[in-house]
Amino acid sequence: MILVVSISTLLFFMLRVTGDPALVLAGDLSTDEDLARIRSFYGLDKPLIIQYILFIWQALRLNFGKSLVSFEDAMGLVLEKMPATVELALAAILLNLVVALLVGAWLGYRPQRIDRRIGLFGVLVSQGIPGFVIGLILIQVFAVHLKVLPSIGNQGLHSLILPSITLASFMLPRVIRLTAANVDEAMREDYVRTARASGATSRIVLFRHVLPNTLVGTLALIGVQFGFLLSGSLITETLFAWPGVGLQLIEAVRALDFPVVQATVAVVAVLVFVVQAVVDALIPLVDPRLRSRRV
Amino acid sequence: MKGSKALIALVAVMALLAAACGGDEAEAPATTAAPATTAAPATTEAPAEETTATTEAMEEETTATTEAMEEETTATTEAMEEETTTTTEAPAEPITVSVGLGNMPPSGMPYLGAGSPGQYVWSNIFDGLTRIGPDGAPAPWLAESWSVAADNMTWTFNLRPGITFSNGEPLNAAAVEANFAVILSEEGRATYSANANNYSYVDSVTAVDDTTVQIVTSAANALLPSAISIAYILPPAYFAEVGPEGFARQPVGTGPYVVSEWGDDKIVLQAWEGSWRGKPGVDTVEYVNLPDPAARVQALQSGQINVAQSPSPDVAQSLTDDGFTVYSATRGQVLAVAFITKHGGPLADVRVRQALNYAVDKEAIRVALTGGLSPSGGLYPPVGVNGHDPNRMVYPYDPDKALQLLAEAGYADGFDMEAEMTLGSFPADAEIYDAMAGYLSEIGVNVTITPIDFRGAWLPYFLGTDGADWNGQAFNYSWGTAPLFDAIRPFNFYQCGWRNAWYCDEEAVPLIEAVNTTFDQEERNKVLHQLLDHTAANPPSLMLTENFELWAHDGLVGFGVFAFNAPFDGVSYGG
Repeated sequence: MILVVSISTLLFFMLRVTGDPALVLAGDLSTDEDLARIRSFYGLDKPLIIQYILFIWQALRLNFGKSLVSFEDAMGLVLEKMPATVELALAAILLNLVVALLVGAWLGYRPQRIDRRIGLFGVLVSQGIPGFVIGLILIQVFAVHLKVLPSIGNQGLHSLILPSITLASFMLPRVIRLTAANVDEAMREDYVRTARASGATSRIVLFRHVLPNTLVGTLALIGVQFGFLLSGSLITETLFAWPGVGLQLIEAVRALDFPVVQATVAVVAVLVFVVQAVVDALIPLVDPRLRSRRV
Repeated sequence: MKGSKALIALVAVMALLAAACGGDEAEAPATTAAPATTAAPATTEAPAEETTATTEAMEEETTATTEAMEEETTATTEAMEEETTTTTEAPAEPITVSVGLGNMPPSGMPYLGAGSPGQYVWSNIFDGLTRIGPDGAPAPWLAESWSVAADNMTWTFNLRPGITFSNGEPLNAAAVEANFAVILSEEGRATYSANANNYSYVDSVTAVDDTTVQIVTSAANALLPSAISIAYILPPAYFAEVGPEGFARQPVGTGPYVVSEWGDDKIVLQAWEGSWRGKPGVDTVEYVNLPDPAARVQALQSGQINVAQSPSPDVAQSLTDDGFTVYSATRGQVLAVAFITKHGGPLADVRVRQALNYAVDKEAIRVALTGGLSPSGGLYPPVGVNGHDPNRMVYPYDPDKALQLLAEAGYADGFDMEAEMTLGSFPADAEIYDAMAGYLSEIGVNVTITPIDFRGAWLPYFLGTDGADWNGQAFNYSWGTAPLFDAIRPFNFYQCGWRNAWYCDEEAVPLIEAVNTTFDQEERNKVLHQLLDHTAANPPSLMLTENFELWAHDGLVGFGVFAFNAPFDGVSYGG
């Protein structure tokens, strides 16, 4: 709740600096009478501090008012879109986990080999490519030329492939690099030497001993970067017309639709908090050492 | 050990996901190719006025657009003419057209906006008493005729008999009265101000009998029939039953389409044969929210949509090369820079204002920065607007004349000026303003362009709210005629009486007043042209290029956009 109030307070004052919603609603034909009528109707004629107190009182009850554009309940609009964004974000996280662990393991297992060095250099370079460029390339190849995958909207799992790869690409290179570094470090640990001495094959050493330990760092990074991933969803959802909160937020900001912007940010803030908490809870499950420490 | 199991489980989930994603044709996107053998739709019951008007629109656009556009428009015109005479045949298979829009309408409630993008969709579902035709004049629509009393403030509109809404409610005078009662209430004027402000001088609307409506205004205004074209008539009983929110999700009108889905990201319309406008040629129209222009073009190229709104002018040629039709039409708006003269300074001298207009090569800007797609370089009123005259003078590029005028005005060495501009509102506007500044620097006028925010600065400065005012000597203000599509509209701001007047031409004031209050159209246009002549000699702004609609589609016949109406009832894939 403190989180929602803090974020909402910050946003309340920041949004009011960007412009007067009454002017936007009234348009360039408006008279003073029109402006007064609109301000009175939306409570914008009250002193700012009163507006703020009323806003916080309503925000505490998760009531952000009605959209200034569509006049529908702002929170309802956001919650309606949230599943699509969560679906996309989860797919991107899964992709990150799987690809980062596999590629990171390959790169970090014998990092001194020339092919791994080239691979790591490629990952480094790819970190500098903006996510939207990757998205545009994917659309051009798979939707325009090959015509095998859709690039707009959410029409089932087919539609999820290109946007989830695009969104995953926002953080994939850095997760791969972290995993590779962790694998490299783990390979020099005592327990690996012990496993090798007891006759374990390279594959067993990697998959049974090294990767589970590496998973902790990867999970932690993904948790920390989840907010960043959601900011990537603004671009991804716009590019692929994915019907989530990112696309909605961009349109709400453009229209100065305060209630929808405030409701979106509050919900996203809570979501980021929840994901952090889930990751914190998952890490001890993955790493028995942390579990025993807590006990 | 448990960690490795978790890892294996994750991999398994991804594998399942990948398997689920692979090769399921049934889940492929709904991309509808144009049936090659589809017969022309039945339009024989459509009102004669509409057919004529639409055909004229196509002809009008033909004169205004580039050569490629002309060919397309001519083809469209022919198709439209053909449709009016073709005997009805059952279509071979239902036609679905998917349209990618840059923005979606704000709501299914059509009073929550005016112009783009709402009207693109609303014009297929709803009707007003009038509809602005392709020539910018109000045409009979739900009202078949109208007249104004001697006081010039009491109007009588006669409705077409026998029209019903798609839910079965009758369209009658009582319905019209009920609609205006909602719009003109205190709450309506606040909530629906974006629409209602265009006819705020309407005092009362009364049903005289079943098909006669009386509208009384608080001031004489000859443009009432144009202004109320965007006041769509909704079924009052249904509206009262579901309220504005319910109506927004399931709108009902008298137009040729009914709404089967209204979402923030997707709208689906189905043809309704019972409409007074006749059975439309396209059975299903889908509107998809595609904010990114590149994504819209890619969706069109990949066959996921059939029509793309506002592709970048840069890709127009490549789309044409790929076999798509690129369509441009007027938006009734000319990009311009307004001169602020209320504080005096060089711009208060008419010779300086003329010099600045002579100094800029508008045609070169049009060709270089809009790909030649802008219909004209600075011609006002543009095509499709009442008062348009293709022979009206546009200041030619003549830097020598500009230098001579500056010298005569005492500014042979030029001067510095600041222009406050919002950037990114129109295609390539920043580049156009930069080019303008470049041309002006050649005659010694050094323009500093200060970018400002539309909502935070431009709008308060323009309205002068709480003492806000312009800081420079010029600002960007397009000569926009929408939603009236009449040349007089921007003059109502460019005048001494405006609430934060930045320019005052006392000689123009009586002419503006005369145009606003002359009800005989021929007489009115005579005065309008006097005003335009006067303004040409006394330019209050620097005209640049015309803003325009740009669309691309995969071969539709009869597709046209005028006054922000993008009706699909006359559209087909030919046959």
